[in-house]
Amino acid sequence: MKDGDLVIRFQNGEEQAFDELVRKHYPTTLNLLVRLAGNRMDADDLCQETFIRAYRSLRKFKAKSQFSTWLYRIAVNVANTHHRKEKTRQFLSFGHDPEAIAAADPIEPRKLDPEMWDAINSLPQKQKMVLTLRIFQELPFKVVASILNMSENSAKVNYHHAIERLKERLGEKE
Amino acid sequence: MSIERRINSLKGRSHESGDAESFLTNLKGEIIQRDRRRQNIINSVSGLIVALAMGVGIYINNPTVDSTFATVDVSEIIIDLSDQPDSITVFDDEEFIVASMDYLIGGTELISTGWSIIEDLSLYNYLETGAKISQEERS
Repeated sequence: MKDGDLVIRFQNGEEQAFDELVRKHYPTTLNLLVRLAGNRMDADDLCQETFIRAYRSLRKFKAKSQFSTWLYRIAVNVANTHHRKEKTRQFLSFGHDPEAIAAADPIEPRKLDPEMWDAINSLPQKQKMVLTLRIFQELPFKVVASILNMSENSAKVNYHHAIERLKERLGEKE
Repeated sequence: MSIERRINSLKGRSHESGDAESFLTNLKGEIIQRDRRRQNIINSVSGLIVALAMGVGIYINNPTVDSTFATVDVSEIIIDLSDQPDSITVFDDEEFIVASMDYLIGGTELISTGWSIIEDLSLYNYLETGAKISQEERS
């Protein structure tokens, strides 16, 4: 069943329709959040927060964009909030944050290419998001721009800068 | 290998697969828990507001609160008491002063008794006055 139909069914009071939406979008949302958060533990929490927010707002969803785009937008906002909190916490703990050490448990994509993983994670947040959505979620620039609330051109420029930075950082190994 | 190719090589691998059913169960539990928590907060706050409003209402509308003490005229009590003098503590002014001096000086134990000092001083004063008179007579 299409997302639009499930949304309408949920808006008409059928709670099971939301379960179906969760089952359908959970894997891709989790993958996106693993890439944005950098670890599985935080990604699980952020994924839960994303779906809770979606559940609370879904009755007001006007279907101006696709459900997946709307859901990714929520996920990106949740990840951004988390990123800001993390930065503050790291600043206040002077780099000795036990939670950060616990969260640094190596996960699958890091094991595959740790150098690339670290390079992507060192990118500025906006560039990292554009790159992740464009490459790993395989979304067109138009949708990436819509999710990140920026112009399509700006999304392309950020992507270009991200690639350039990665080349600079990993250039010698090419 | 170019950067794009290296990134693309990571792309196809679905690295993190969670159990959607257990996630869904946890999600529903969390939503219910948060709803309960929110309801509890709303109940507590509204209860507090009602209690506060009732307290303020009772305080403002209760006529006995302020008038209980306001009806007692303290000045009358003082006047009533002043009409019944205490016989033990009534003194003439002079008697009172002497009694006070007696008490104060009698209590001093530094140099013999207080009265002996006064007597000595009186005697000294008497002798000095006598000496002055005789000196004047001689001159």
